[in-house]
Amino acid sequence: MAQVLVKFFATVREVTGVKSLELEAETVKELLQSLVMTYGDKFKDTVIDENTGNLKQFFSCMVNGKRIELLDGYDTVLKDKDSVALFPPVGGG
Amino acid sequence: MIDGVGGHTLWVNLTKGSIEKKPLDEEVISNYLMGAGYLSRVLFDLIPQGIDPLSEKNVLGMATGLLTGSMFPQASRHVIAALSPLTDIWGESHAAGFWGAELKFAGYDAIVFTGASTSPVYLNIKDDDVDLLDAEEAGIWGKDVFETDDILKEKHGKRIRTLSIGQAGENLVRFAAIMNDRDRASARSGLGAVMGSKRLKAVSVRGTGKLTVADPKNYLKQIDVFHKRMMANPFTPGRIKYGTTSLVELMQHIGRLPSYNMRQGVFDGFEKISGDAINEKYLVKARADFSCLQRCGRYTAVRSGPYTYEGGAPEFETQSAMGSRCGNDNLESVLFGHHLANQYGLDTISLGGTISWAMEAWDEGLLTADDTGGVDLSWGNHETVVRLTRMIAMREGFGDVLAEGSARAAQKIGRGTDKFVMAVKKQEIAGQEPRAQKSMGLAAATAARGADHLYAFPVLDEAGFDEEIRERFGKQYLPEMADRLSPKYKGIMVKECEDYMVMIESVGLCKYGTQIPPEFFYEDIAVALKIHNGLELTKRDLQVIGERIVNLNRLFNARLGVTRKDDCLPERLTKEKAPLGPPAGEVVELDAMLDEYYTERGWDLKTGLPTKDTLERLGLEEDV
Repeated sequence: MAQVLVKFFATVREVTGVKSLELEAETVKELLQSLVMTYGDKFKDTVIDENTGNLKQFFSCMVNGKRIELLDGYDTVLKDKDSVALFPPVGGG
Repeated sequence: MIDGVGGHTLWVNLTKGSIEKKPLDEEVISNYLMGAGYLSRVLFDLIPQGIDPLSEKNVLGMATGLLTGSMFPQASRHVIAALSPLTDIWGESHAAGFWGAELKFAGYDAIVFTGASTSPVYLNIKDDDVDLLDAEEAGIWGKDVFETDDILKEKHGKRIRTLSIGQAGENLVRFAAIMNDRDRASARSGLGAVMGSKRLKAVSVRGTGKLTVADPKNYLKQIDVFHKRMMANPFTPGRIKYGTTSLVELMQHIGRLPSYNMRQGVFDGFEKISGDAINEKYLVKARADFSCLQRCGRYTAVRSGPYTYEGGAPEFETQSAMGSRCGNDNLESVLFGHHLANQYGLDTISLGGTISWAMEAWDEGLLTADDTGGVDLSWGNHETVVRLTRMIAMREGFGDVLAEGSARAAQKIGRGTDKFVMAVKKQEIAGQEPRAQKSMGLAAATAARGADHLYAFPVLDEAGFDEEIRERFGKQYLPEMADRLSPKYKGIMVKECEDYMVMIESVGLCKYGTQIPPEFFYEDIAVALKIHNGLELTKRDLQVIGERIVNLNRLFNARLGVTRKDDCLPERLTKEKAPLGPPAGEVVELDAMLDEYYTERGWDLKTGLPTKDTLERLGLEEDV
């Protein structure tokens, strides 16, 4: 299990009530499950697509600034001290 | 005449003081739509080569889009264009608000100003009554944007909508904005200085007419579908709550937040200037423009201290330009500086880009207090950022040098300071550190008005649009096209996005809703043009129109000598590796992306100009 720092932004932060959290997880999928356990239904309803169990459309998860779609997706293996960010739909210029 | 339009263009000769009302040219509409496309065509034919942009020979156009004033989500936009005094090439700028819709309700889709007045004037429109009036007698010449709005409302009634320049435009600051509805800005390209050079202070308008729609039977039903889709989009709640201000944190996280004059894309003080910091202490409320469901505009207030004010709020670009770019984490100064820029009528992107250029030159010891008249230009000096905003608008002291923009200021100062000019074709690059998002580097290099993130607005590689890329381009382009650090396929993406975005600027819609989030696309625009205007246009027709406009803009610039050599970026971005954050070690591989872009466009690889075949395909062969 890797010890990682998860950072929350904007409307995701409103649900967690904290800017960041240290936790242990082996993969991104495990990390999201752990966050659902920690923050309950409000987090689940806001962030997770109930049909797929993945992030809702346009939500973004990055590991060390890199989108998980460009890594191994939800199976991306985490390492100690990785920085994981969870963004709600946000973008533009 | 088609439905959904005012039906006329006002032709105002400021030299003669004459005003003529002419019906819209439907042939131009069928080839270019209205808005940006219409002005691209009309001004290409009217602006002579080899003129001074600040002379009476320049022509200033203002136009609404075909859907402006409709009930389509975010149908609030108008476009202003002329030869730019900042770049000396095609100049174009857009804004939301209510002014554009009001102009259409008065019966006009566009205004074209030729010549220059010998004394200050403003144009007042009340439906059929259109008058050029004395701006000095009205007491608005020399006044700021807010005072001008107050005085004109006192004089012509509180329901008028105003568009005006502030002192920056009157003083011919080369990045002066044209403001409307007090705090909406057509800021880029320095078109406020063109208004100033023509001694045209304002255009006030009141329209009490109505727009007809082509399909009244199905109109509301279809509009309801569009509205429900927009409201259900996952982006909408966050937009309403944060506007674009929450972008600071995303950009910091991906290393794309221009900091210290683009030396780097991360800023230690980012949390202090973030959307959360604004919402926590300074947000008054969100605001919407005409028919806007995204409501990304906001009002903010600072209630005490030297930066006390209440008014329009900065968006991401200003947080970046007057904040991180200047190494400034004092949020109240960013909020107040933005307010001052609106008041005087300045483009905050070029303002922050020019001040940060001077700060880096100071940091390198190439500018001293002898040059600046004692103004301290240390990184993060928030008092200097605010002080210079006023000095630039008024052209006081060192502000007079900076009022020329960073490229001309560097030329005047010399001593190698041009190395720190972060501009393309003399316009300062906006809030996208392109070493962290390659598509934005290419977009800045190719945009018709000089450095510009909005001409293409290639945001599909920013965060999580793989599905949209698959649908718009095909799965064969993944994952590279969605990888912001990969230069691959970015030429294809930027070309497609440019064609789409200029079409959107020609129908008067916002990029929010059509590009990010990508809720509406060509097919939806075709439906809207059918029920509103009665136009039968296919997706392919609209794509070709967009492509035609981009090519015509390129021909306008080609007449002025622009070729591939000008589609460049500062060497810092193409040769010096990004020092920090996720893009550490990256440079912008511009040449490879340009090759792909020109190939996709049907432009010559060596000159970067449209080939004969391309021009013939688009019906532009006679414009060479």
